[in-house]
Amino acid sequence: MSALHTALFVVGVITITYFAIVNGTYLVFTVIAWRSLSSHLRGRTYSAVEEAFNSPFTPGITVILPAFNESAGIVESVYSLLALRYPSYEVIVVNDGSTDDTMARLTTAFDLVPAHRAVRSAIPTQPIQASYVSRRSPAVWVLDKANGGKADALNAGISAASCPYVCCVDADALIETDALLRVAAPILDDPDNVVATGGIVRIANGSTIDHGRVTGVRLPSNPLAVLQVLEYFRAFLIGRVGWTRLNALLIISGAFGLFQRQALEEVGGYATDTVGEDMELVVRLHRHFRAREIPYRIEFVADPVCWTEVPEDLGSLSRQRRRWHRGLGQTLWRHRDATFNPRYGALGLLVMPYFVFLEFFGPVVETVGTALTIVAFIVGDLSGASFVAFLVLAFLVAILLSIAALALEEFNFRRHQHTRDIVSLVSYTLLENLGYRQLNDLWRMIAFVDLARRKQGWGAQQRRGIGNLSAAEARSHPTLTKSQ
Amino acid sequence: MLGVLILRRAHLARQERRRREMEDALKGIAMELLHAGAEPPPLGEEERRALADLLGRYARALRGPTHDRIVDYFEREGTVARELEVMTGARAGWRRATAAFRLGDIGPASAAGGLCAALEDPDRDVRIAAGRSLGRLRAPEATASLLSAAVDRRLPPALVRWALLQIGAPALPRLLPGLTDDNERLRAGAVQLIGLLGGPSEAAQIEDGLRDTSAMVRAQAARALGRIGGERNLPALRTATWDRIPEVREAAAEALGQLRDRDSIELLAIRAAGDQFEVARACARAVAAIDPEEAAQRATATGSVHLFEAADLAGIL
Repeated sequence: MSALHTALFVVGVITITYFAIVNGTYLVFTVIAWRSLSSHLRGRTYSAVEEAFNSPFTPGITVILPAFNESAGIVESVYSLLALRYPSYEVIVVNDGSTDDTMARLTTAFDLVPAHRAVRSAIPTQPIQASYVSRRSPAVWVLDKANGGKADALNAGISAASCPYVCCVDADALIETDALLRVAAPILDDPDNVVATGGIVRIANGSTIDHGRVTGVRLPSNPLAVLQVLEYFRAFLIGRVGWTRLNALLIISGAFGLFQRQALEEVGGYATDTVGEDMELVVRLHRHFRAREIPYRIEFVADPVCWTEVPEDLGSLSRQRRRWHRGLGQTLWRHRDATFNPRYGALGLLVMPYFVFLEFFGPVVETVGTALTIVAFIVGDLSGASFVAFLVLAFLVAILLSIAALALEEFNFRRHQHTRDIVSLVSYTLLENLGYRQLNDLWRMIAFVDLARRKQGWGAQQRRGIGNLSAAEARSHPTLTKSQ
Repeated sequence: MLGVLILRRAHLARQERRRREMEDALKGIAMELLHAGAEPPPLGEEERRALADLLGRYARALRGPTHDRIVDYFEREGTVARELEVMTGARAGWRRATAAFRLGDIGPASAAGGLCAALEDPDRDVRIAAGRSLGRLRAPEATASLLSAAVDRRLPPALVRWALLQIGAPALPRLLPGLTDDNERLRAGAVQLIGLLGGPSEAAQIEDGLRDTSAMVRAQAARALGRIGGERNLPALRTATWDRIPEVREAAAEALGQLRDRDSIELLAIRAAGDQFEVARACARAVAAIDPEEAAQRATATGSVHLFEAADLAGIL
């Protein structure tokens, strides 16, 4: 057998194994998600969320909103936070050295006045130059600090928090009124063990937004954004529900996550030298508790919703995906000693290897595998029937998973009121495998180059201000690179 | 698949429309029953269920004679007996949970025993629904069962505390024995609730909690005294600010602030300038609660950021 044939054979085996494990895992997770979501939603009917809202014992939460040049939407974001239904919470906006008029807008909108704020020193951050409190809503504080990146801003907020739990949200996110109460439900149920929870992130592009609230859920008109709607369904309703069941959830979205403040302090807060600080933090939390054999749980809750805007052009989307993959790589490299380490149980033996081999190297396997499958067909190592069967099977399984995620959404939440949105989403499940998926793999492969070049920073981002998404006069607001 | 999703949508929309129409038609009958106690006319099975749902929802927001009429109706109709039977006998956990939940909405006192037994149900949803319902029933006889369910972690502590708060003062006699229980969680829970439900007459017993071997109990006792304590409890609270556990010192400082104890300003200001972060913050806020101007002066004198923060906040509030 020639070297080419041997190489084709080896790559073929790897590709088929990869294909079987990834899709097998997702199919198993789909079954878990069906059971888990229906049981969760049924339990929600009997749960005592309203009673928790009326209880003087519900623990306080500090909501932290890091802001860097978020002038376009910061005021709407804070208003949306002030509308949250939760008995006891404060909002700390951390202005991370913005160069636009973020600070001025906040000052005007909330009648800010200078006030001292005590800050813990356990987690080092860039200096906080001033602190302000709102005369209009004294639960709103603003810390004005030197630029240090999102993680540094979050750390400053954690250090200043006065409540036992902190909820980290993105400045361009809108949190639904009941979301804080719902994301805190696992903590209210089991305060001794639950150290972190995260809610679902949904895409606001195309929806109607009024005074910081999503009032009409619609699909975006932009095809790229619609494709991301499907991706988010898959990632949250299947992936995160599945990993949660194994107590192996590695990602709580940076857009909306609730943490026990003491746990964050113990692990040293967010890492400031990675672009995947949300995932890195959760991995560190897992390791912290597992290494000390302290019982703990990190949970994903499917019903509290955080709305966010997603990129609508290829350039922004490419930068986002490359950044995400770079963040994944940085986290896996930093915690490489946990991979295959039995000391960390399922995390070390199952989850970390899954993320290394199937998530991180996935794009390489998919791209190289697809290319060499074509080569194998051309050189005659693969019969025409086998070649077509493989492609059709891969295509059908991918569609099945997307439809399953869509069905999970439809059967359990039904947030899209218009039937034509569902018809449209089903048609996009076909389209996403014809180009979009391959493009994603390409962007993620470029991230390997970024990693090799030790690229840092977030790249330029377009901010329209999510509260203004539906307004015809929505304007484009380029922001500077968030580098440290 | 697309067809299934669309058909399901159409079916749900039709079902929802029918439910709304039926409820609109039954609203008049429900109002007659609530206001005049008028017996509803004979209804079909589906209508009877819709009326029960409607009255159950109204019952959540009602108390007094109007609520009693709803209970009487459900008792006469046999709904209470039926739901109790389902709660104890149904195989599916969700059916038992739904029945337990409905009994809370209906609110018949006769269901308290069955709901207490349901706190032992193997299904967590059933236990939670029963705990909530016992709170809605305000059944004092459920006090001990609820407390032990929280201690055994059969129920979320937040739910139990809410339920006991709903029961209110009648729960007190059943909470007092908890102060001397062997289980520290139960003692702490009893202290906390007595602090909310009780009054000055219970303060002496709570003060004993400040000398408990468990820091959890001592902290709860300090917090409770902040609410129901008085002048005679101040010396013990001042002593508690020297406790070796920061959480107890923090709780004692909060209590002294709530009781506006001017004599402890000096002590609290020193702690605000030098104790562990959370304790210092609580001490500073206590000083500001007692005397905001004093807090501002002491902040300037000591340079304590906690005192500055507390004084600034007091100025704004």
